[in-house]
Amino acid sequence: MSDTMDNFIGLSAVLTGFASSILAPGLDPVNIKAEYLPFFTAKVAAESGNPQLVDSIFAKYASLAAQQLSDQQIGTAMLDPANGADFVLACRKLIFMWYSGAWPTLIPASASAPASTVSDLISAKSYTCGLAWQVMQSHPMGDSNYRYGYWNSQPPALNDYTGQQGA
Amino acid sequence: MSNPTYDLVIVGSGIAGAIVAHQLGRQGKKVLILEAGAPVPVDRSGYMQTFFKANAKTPESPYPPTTQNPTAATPDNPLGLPDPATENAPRYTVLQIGAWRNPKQCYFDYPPQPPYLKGDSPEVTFAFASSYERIGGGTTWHWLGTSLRLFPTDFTLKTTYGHGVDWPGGQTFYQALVPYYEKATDVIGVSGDKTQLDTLYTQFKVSPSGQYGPDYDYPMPAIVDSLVDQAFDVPAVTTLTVDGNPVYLTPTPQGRNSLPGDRRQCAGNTNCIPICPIQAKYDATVTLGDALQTGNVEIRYRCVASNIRVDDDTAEVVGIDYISYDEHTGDATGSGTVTASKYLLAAHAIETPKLLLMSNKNKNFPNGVANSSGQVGRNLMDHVMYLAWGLAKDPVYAFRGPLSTSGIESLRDGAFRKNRSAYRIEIGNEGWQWAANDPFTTLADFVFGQDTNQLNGNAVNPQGQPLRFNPNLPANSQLFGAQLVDTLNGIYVRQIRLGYLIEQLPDPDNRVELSPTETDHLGLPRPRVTYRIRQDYERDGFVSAKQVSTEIFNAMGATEYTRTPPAPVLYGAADQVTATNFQYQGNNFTFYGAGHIAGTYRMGDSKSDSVLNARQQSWDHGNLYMVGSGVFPTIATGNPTLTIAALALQAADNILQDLAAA
Amino acid sequence: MKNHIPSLRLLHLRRAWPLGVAASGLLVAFLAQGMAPDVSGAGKQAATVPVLSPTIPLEITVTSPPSPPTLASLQHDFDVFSWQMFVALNWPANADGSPNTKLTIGQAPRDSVVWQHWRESRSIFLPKGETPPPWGQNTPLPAVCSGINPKTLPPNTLRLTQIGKTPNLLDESSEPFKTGPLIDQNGRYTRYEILTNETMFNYILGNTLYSKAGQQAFNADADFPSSDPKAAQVGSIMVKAAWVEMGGKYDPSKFFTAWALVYDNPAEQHGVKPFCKLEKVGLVGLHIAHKTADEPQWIWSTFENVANAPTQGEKLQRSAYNFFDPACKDCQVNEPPPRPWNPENAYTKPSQIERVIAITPEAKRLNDSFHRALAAVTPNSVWLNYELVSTQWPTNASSRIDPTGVPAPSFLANTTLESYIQGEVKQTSSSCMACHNNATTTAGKSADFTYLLQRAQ
Repeated sequence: MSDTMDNFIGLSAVLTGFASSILAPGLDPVNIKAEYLPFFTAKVAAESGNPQLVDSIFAKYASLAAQQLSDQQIGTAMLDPANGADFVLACRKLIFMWYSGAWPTLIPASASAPASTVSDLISAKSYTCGLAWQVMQSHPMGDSNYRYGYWNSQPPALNDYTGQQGA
Repeated sequence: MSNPTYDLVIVGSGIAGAIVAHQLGRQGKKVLILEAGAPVPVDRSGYMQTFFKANAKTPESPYPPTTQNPTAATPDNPLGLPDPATENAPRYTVLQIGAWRNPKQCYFDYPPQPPYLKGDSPEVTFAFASSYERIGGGTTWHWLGTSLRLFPTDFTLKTTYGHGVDWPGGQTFYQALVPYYEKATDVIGVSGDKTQLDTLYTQFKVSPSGQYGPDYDYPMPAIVDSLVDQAFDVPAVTTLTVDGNPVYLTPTPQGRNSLPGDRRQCAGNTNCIPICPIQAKYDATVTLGDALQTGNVEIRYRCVASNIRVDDDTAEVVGIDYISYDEHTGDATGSGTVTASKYLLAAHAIETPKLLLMSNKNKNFPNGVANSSGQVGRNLMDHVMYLAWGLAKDPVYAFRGPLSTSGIESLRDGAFRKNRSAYRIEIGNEGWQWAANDPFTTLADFVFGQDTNQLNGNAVNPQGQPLRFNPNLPANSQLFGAQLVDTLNGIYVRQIRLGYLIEQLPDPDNRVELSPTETDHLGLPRPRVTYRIRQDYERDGFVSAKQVSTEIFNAMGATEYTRTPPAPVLYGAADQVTATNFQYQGNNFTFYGAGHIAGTYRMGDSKSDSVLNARQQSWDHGNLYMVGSGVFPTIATGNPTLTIAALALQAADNILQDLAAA
Repeated sequence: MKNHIPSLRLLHLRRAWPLGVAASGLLVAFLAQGMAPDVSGAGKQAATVPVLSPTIPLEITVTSPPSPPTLASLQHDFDVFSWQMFVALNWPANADGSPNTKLTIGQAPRDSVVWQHWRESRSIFLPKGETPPPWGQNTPLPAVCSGINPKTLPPNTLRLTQIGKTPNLLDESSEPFKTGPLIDQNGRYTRYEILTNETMFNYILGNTLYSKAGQQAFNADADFPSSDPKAAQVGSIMVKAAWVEMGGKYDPSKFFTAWALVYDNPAEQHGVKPFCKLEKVGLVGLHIAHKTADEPQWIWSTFENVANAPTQGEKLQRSAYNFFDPACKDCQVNEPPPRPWNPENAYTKPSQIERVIAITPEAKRLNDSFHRALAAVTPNSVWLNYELVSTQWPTNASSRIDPTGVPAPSFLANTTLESYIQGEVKQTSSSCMACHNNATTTAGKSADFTYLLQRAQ
């Protein structure tokens, strides 16, 4: 795996709160990361008009990661407004992309409506890979691998879905 | 008159048409079905793929023709809705509701809003809120599966409560339908719990013994209830009463498999609407396949019935004209006339009256076939829906299991029906997906610091409860990492939703007509729809629903998040006016559609005020029958499909009887 | 349940990317009998010609390097396992169904092979839920078949060792979930049978899972025994075979053939009348599912006759196919015939089948290597006409949130067994594990990845 992919997954794990082993399992027949990285790279470049922005995001992440900081510290540093609005927005859109499988467009508040978000699904596969379904301890609507009656009992623990350690 | 080739020609291959086709085919009768839309695919992967990719996962989203095309989006058409004038078999979709004033995006044409109305005027017209499919297998592709029987009093609303109309014969009609209900339960393959339904039937004195027919039971045990159901099924809720009726839960009889059989056992994909990926849920393609397997049933797809020919002397139907096409936006590829001994219209409650009204070239029926009463297209009804949503105090693990597994049926009948519409309450297992497009809206709120769902701001509900999910976080928080995980999880697993199916009365001015200006790509007129919620009787149903929701949520310790809709905007640009908003007694309401389109070719006791007799046979044309919920004189208090199936089975017997007599 | 590589999931530490994993001792623990270890790694041509063995492998052999194993290297290991299974199951059988170790696969081609002695589903799930006779004993044939005397077979069609063996009964003519029948180039229906090995049969028998009442009484999720290398025990294996009648456009020398009772089963479709005939049939498709200790979702191997169908979007490789007519220009591809369906129809327009997901170059190379080994035994071995399509296996067998264990590849279909549901759409396109994960008993309990138990009466 390339350094770029390493940084992409590492940053994604910090920002989403999901373990990299969930975002990019070592044995990964689904391989959504291979779809997301080029998509994210192209979108951020197009929307910011700055083809170097993604590189600078990954570089910043790599330098923070090398400092043995906590996830919380890295995430806070990545989302610091001092990084610039485009930088932070790209990081936030990265979170949204992983959770929804879609790319968001933010609609600013107007006189008649508060701020809101619309989004375009990236692919059929990305819909089924959305972390939103995992964070709710469920499955994508229309794509369940559970068996009859599972809805009558408690789901597995949240950490089983996020891949995080702990109780 | 040419020699009939078939015993029966059917227009439409949904559940009603498929059932009649199967019943006749198995008796050796030759049947031809004309289906306006695409064939039943061998594999539902194509539909699933379209569903997975659809940005708006509406009930119609998996099915052809495309309901949305992001690559065709423009500022005027952000969803990329197709222009119905370019389509050969367009249909109304819920994405068109917001575009109801724009015929370039909306299949239905609507008359102008009458001038000088206020938001609470009963004369305000709305967008119709329910949709249907025009494909092989029809609208059961996206039905929920709820398979409830109607109550006897549903058939005597006028006699018992002084509202609407009775079904022809009233009680007698109901009694005759009971054995067909039993048969319909088997045809659909319903999972249900007789014991628990008996409780309900005893409450409503359906019969002295509490039984609902001599052999009544379900082919499969009930689908197990959900943790969401269990959160409602607590004493604080089940000790409530509403207008004298007790509140309790009933497991919903459902047309999906609790055990494996010809179909797979339900695996809880939480996607009955729009599409069950594994066909654990019944759809009419099952019966259509059985019909074709008899060897006596033929189906022609992409054949749009365009005109019914009537003999000037006998008033018998002598043929149905159709136009065929190959590509949905391509040119017509042919046309013809099919003939049979008997004819059956089964094209649901919008397209059937439209076909009758289009058939206006017959000398003695200038207002359309079967329309001497003038009732064709009138009395358009739906279950108008009130939605209420909230967060349970403890996790209920929403978004799991079939979309709904239980309901509150105990409020469907009672003396209150003299005063207001009755309703049943559907308990949703899909969190705020329908109500608020979750998980995506709440996700955006906490990633981008927005507050669309009131969980991340300063909103307070009418009960005075602050709605910010985590009071320790500032308003408009933008989260990441563990805090985002915990917040989203805490919200999603607590989401609950109630849906009220409010009985709408027949109103002759709620109607389907032919658009004077708009056509589809075959040149056929599109429906013009006039739709109001005119009676205080119905609006008082909303008031009750709103109040009961709040009581239930309070009783179970949940926090209510139902958004108060904006005030109606009746006049202005097409993209400025509201579609389904109204005011009543100072409150703003919005209504949703249940997808239960009914009433537009109703049965009745009299030729003067109904289209069909109690045999679902045209008063005007002895060899013309119609099935589907369009025959319903009232929408009643249960989801219509089981009744549609029972009536179709009954109609099949009538047709067989008439064929034998001929 | 164990993950077959238990340490892998834990090692994906965020900043250790990419994996810096030491080879686990477990990875190379299971050397299957009879297979020279292939140490060349995935995707490379096997350095050695595979050894052909009648011994059923109990677990995959994990090649190393690479260390840790990759998706590609493990796919190779599972594909090797599939071929080992294929060889062992198609080994010539003794009269008792055991492999005839005096022979090698491909010799004595008229002999029955091991799996043909296994228990057919129709002889397990009997009318009225009757108890099936124990392993090794026959179940009475349907009345309409019982008049057929196998001794009327043409002389020399059955070897002496097979006297007394009843021909297998092919009682199915439709693909899963009523997607429809597959029509061969002679216009005849393709026929199917499902069989279980002794371990699986005995589990069904011992737990009364052969009847509806027995499944009610059992009232638990089924859990078939797994193969266990430590105990050297063969676990549960089932096969599903697809056959076409020989003659017409089919040259029997290109198929593994058998004489079988071809039965039109009235239970399948409305309008089918019971009818039985003895026919020479040729094997066109074979699924093998094997439950192992580390793959509780089973290992799913699928083989086909090499001439079944061309691959969509690729140039035609042959002038004739078993299920594709190169001359037909207006044939609808991968569409079943119109209803009514009835296997007794004398002629139905042949299906036009294309493979939707191509066989990978790696699997093709492995096929070549096993073909070389087979040809070394018998130059014109009938088994040269069969190829592995792929093997589906769980990449995360012990996942607590995905009972299918995240299968690889995500989708797998045999053109003769899932002709109409090939593709790559989740939940609907053919995936052995995703689909069989939903299999339940007639009592609604999980059936451990087999739909067989739904046949109980």
